[in-house]
Amino acid sequence: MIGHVNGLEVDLLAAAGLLRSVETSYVGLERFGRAPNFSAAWESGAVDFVTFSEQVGFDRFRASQAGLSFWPVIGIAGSDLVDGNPQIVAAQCPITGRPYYAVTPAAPDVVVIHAGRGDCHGNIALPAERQLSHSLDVILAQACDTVIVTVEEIVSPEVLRARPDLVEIPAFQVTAVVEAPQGAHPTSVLGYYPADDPGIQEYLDATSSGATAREVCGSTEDDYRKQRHSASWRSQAATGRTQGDA
Amino acid sequence: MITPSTSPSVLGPPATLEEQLAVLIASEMRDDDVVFTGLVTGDRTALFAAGIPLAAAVLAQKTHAPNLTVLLAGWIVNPDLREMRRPPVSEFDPELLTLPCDARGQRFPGVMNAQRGDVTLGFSSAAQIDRTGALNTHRINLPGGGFRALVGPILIPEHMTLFGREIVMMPRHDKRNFVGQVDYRCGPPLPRQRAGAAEYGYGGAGPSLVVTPRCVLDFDQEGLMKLRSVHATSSIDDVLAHTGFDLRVDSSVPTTPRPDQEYLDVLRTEVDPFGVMLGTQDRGSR
Repeated sequence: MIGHVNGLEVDLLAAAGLLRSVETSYVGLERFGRAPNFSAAWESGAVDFVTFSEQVGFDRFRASQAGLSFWPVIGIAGSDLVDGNPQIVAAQCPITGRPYYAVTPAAPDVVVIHAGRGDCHGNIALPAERQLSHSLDVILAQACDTVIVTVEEIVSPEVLRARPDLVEIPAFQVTAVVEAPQGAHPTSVLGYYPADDPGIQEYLDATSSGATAREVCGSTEDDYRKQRHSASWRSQAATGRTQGDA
Repeated sequence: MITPSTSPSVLGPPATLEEQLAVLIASEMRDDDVVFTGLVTGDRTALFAAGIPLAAAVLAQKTHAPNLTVLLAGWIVNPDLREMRRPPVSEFDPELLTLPCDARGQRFPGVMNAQRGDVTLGFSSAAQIDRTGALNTHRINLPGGGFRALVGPILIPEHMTLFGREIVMMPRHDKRNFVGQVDYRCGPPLPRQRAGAAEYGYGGAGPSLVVTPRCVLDFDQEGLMKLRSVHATSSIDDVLAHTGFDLRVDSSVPTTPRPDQEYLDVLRTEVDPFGVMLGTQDRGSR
């Protein structure tokens, strides 16, 4: 897994035993604390945490977006991050002679992001009212040749053509679009639903009591919804779009 | 902007430690500062590492530093927090979109270009710090071998090299937090940081102040931590008993100053009227 700031998605892969290594600056669950399944896997040696800083985590995707073979960095100088990571190499500016660290591009094989609306061609629209983190998703989508976008809803192309300024990821940059309503659960999607805090806590409780990822998530989407959507969240999500609507 | 001299004096309870520290930190801020405050999670940590700095920055804006800029989480510029009824729960809490502010960065790279030196004052927090000001948020070695996972270095490396100066907010001050040497250096030891500024050309000066529930610390010319003031609720002996290294203590160490009453009034009436940032919601009537 290659990311910049990571959370539940990494924890779930670790819980499922599907994670070999993660390249990132953070794996945690914000107000819920550490990511317990990832932490246990890292502590036991089952998973490798290849450590970058947050800014470098972002910039590695910019290197891939720009088609560069390295990204020059100074902000990690003097820290332990520069030791023992073959993807961070001491370098020198060929023009000024100033020292830098050259960092490898993110270079993911596949990028998967979740968005609000897409059309059948794969055009992806962002909400008009958005957050800085949305633009990081755009950089990710433009940093890889194989891009899978899951969306809350597939709408008719005419709907998106009415607001082409919101289509930040055009279809030629998208390999596949998948309609996956409530697909970001238990995290939030701006304009659709908030985070499912009780659902996150229930996930943590279930995995900490030894249940497997399969038992926790079920085998089908229906299983997942029944098992993991908390009652309070279900009623909130049913009220539909909240804010940030295009 | 409201100046302390024109604000009404509000009689109220004595300052809490959080209020005292918010006023103290505000006094460290300059009119031309661009202040980065992150959103840190965990109740006590959030209060110390996010609530106090944010309240301090807004207090400075409303008193001696009207041109100061607040960069909340690096994307919300000069938020108006007076109507806030609960602290943001995450760095991209949807409710942040309803917060009145001067500007909202929607792009990366965007309103905060750290490597260019946009940020003149940052705040950070850690599980471990040592006498050189190196911070650790990544992993803690266990006595019998192995380690305990923390969350990773996040933006700490950039805080310590690219931000003009850095105030470290340590929510806990015990021997396991103030250690001889951190188990993983997320940022450089201050002596190496200073050498690196010349070598790498970064503009940051590294940690300038460390604030804890027991005391305030700063750094000497060699880049080693020393005691600047002790809170009234603590003592030099108490600080030394809870510090895991040989801390430099000068012959005369003052008590951390009590907050100026006018600043305290502005803090309570104009900055954090609902006690959301400083955790005083449950306090009785003022």
